[in-house]
Amino acid sequence: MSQYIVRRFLISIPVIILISVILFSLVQLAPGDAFSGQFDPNIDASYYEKMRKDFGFDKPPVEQYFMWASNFIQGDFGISFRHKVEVSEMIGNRIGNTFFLAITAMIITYILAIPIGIFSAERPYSKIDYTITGISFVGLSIPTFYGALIAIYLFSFYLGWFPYSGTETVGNDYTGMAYILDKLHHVLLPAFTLAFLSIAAYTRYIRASVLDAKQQDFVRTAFAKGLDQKVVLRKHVLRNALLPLITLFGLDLGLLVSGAIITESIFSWPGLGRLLYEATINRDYPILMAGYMIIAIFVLIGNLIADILYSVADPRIRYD
Amino acid sequence: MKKKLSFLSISFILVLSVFLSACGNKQDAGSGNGATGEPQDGGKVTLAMFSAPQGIFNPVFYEDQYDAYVLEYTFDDLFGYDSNLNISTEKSLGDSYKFENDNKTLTIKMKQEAKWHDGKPVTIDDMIFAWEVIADKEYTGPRFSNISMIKGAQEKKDGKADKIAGITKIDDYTVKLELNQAQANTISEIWDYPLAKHLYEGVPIKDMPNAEPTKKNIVGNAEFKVKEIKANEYVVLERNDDYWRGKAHLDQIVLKVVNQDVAIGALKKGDVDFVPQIQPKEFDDLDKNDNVEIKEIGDFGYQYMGINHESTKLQDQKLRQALVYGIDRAAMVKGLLKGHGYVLNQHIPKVSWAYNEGLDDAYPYDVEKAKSILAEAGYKDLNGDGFVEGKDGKAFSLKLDYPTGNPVREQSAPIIKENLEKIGLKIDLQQPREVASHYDAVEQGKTELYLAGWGLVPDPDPSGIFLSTDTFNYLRYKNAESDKLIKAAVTSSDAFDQAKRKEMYKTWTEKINEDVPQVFLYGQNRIEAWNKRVNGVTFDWRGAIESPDAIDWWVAK
Repeated sequence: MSQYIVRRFLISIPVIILISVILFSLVQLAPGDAFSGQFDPNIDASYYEKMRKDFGFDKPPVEQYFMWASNFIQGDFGISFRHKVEVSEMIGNRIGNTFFLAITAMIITYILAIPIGIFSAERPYSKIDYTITGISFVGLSIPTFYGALIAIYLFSFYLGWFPYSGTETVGNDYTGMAYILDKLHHVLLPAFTLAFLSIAAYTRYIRASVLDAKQQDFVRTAFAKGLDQKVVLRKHVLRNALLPLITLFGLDLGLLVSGAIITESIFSWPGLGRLLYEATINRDYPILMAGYMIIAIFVLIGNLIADILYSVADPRIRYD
Repeated sequence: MKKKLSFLSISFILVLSVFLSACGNKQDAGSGNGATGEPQDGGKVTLAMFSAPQGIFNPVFYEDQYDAYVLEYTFDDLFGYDSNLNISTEKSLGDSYKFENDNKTLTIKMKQEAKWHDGKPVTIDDMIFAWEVIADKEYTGPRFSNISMIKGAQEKKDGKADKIAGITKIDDYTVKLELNQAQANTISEIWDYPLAKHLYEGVPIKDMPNAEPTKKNIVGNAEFKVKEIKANEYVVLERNDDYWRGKAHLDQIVLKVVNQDVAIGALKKGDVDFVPQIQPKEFDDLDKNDNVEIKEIGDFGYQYMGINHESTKLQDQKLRQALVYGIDRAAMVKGLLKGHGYVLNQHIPKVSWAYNEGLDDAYPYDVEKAKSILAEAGYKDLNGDGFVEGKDGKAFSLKLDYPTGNPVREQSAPIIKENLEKIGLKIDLQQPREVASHYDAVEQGKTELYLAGWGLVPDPDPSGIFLSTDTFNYLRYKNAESDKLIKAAVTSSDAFDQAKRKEMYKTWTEKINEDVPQVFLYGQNRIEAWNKRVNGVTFDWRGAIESPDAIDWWVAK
């Protein structure tokens, strides 16, 4: 097992290098650079020329790549072209918020989706099952920005239950528990909005997976042995039915850091999603490269964890 | 299936609009402000920002417009404008200025009462320090063009001198500047925000944008001080009790990041007090709300359709004129801007003192006239397909590029195509591209017709954009006569008289109006809204938020 993990780690290194080369090429191939369209008749044109030179835009792309790579390995993510601020500072300010929002959304998803999915699968093709299916499809079809705006108008403006922007109350001096509660108060609405879509999707996965497991021979055997319905469900069906969730979990871990552009924008949640989106528009590649490299690394780690969890959950799988 | 879906979406829209009106009504009952009476001290107002400031709170280095919002209330400069766009030092750090020696020497005197937030006086040394920093070759900000008129600034930038030769300190509050040439707009152009010498001296210039006084302990000199910065979320400003113009009424101004689509709802609910940049389509809804004051004024910017003058297809002046007659710009203002704008025929926006009213009715929308001009110029439909052929009888079409990002502009592109095809010009409308790609194509001259916009400053000087030699002359418009007029309107001795200068711009705008360097489309109004509980708000060409009178804002208890 440990040998397997080490091997997987070693394989990841060339994968990461490859990802960085592809990313870098994509950014270079896109027309325009960080200063295109940035003209201001009150600012001398030579200023932009100087900036382009200072940031090394005039050097050949291969040289630029190696400059970036050697700095990146040493932990220097560079300086944002547009904002002239350390990229590590910009990402550092936001990554915690992104984690906080994504993990809360993930917990909400699991807490709601697993019971609903099982509940639905236990009563297949009943009225309540169709109702849940219907709601799931509605959840899947609502565009996030629309759902987010409805949530704000309903829960913030009309009912006044939740705040609609930021991660904490303006000018607060909270400490300890009060601070944590304030943070939770701010995260719940965006997290629910974010979770809404995945709850719908997860419910469908789990329902299908449980239904599928119920038709397996070993389940029929268990019933034939005279086991109680609940025991069969818990011991035999669920353990098998929830295996695909591990794959989903692995993928979600990567999404944790990529942030949710739309939800973050509407709730003015200072996370990575918005930063990366703006950096893409601005061709601000120190931010882009650092951001996407972090996402890539998390996706690889997520997959590794999922594979390891598989071997724990499913004794048929062995890694040698 | 289709039916069901559409039913769903309709019901959601209904639900949403019920909430909207519910929010509005709830507020109505709650507020009963008088808007009259004596100003009261205390309280705070909240201002919505659609995006987070970058956090470079130093006038010499910032570039972000939301950083500018914070600087607006915390830093003063030497010269300002009054509400009629005349230069004024009444509310600024400057006291007086005088041109001598054929307008080639400028003496600036500062007021002596102003202090930095840490109690140190603001002196001419701080101003000189700012100029010296900007001229340094280590300086990374974009302001050099604001000091290049001072003699010796270029030499320092090139590393040939340690100090700017043209600066002579007379006393602690007076400086004499030698200028490279007489220039009527020197006062509007010259960099006039001092930099606190006692805080930044000794900091290497390249570290200044990230230095402690820039990012953490901001020491300004205006009516509010920075109290707290929560990166990417909000900035809290508190009253400066030691301000030379007197104390502001408000205790605090909070600048908070709120999404543009949410800010309107928050304004109606009373959660935020000021919202900048309201979209035209929101105007009527907000105007109906009893708690909200909404005002508009022509902005210092406009949208245009650029013409690449290097394209062989666009050499004919008649063809360019037909383009203007053939586009229904009035319908755009009415339909897309809901009337919150105006049709423009010149580079100078309506709000400027140099605006040429005589051009208001130049180029009315006239399909027949456009067609006849085209025919006259030799563009005729030879094969009867409804589109004209080129003068050589071959197929003729023009490419139109446009960027994403400005919704009104995006909507105008297909309308322009439709309009121009009505006069028989085939338009090859390209897919919209995001801003960086679009302007890359424009900069490299890969376009024929393209949509773009300008944001301008109060001084009407068009150099930087319209001179044949300008880098930003993306039109590639070369016209020696226009160049001469532009230069004369700044450097000739007559230019120092505003009435005469206005006359010069009248000549220039008329001259190039006939030649059609680009198709001027429309000027959009600046629309701002605020909660009526805030009193003492002045709204002029700067809007309310950028007005120097935040000191007078007050809220009733």
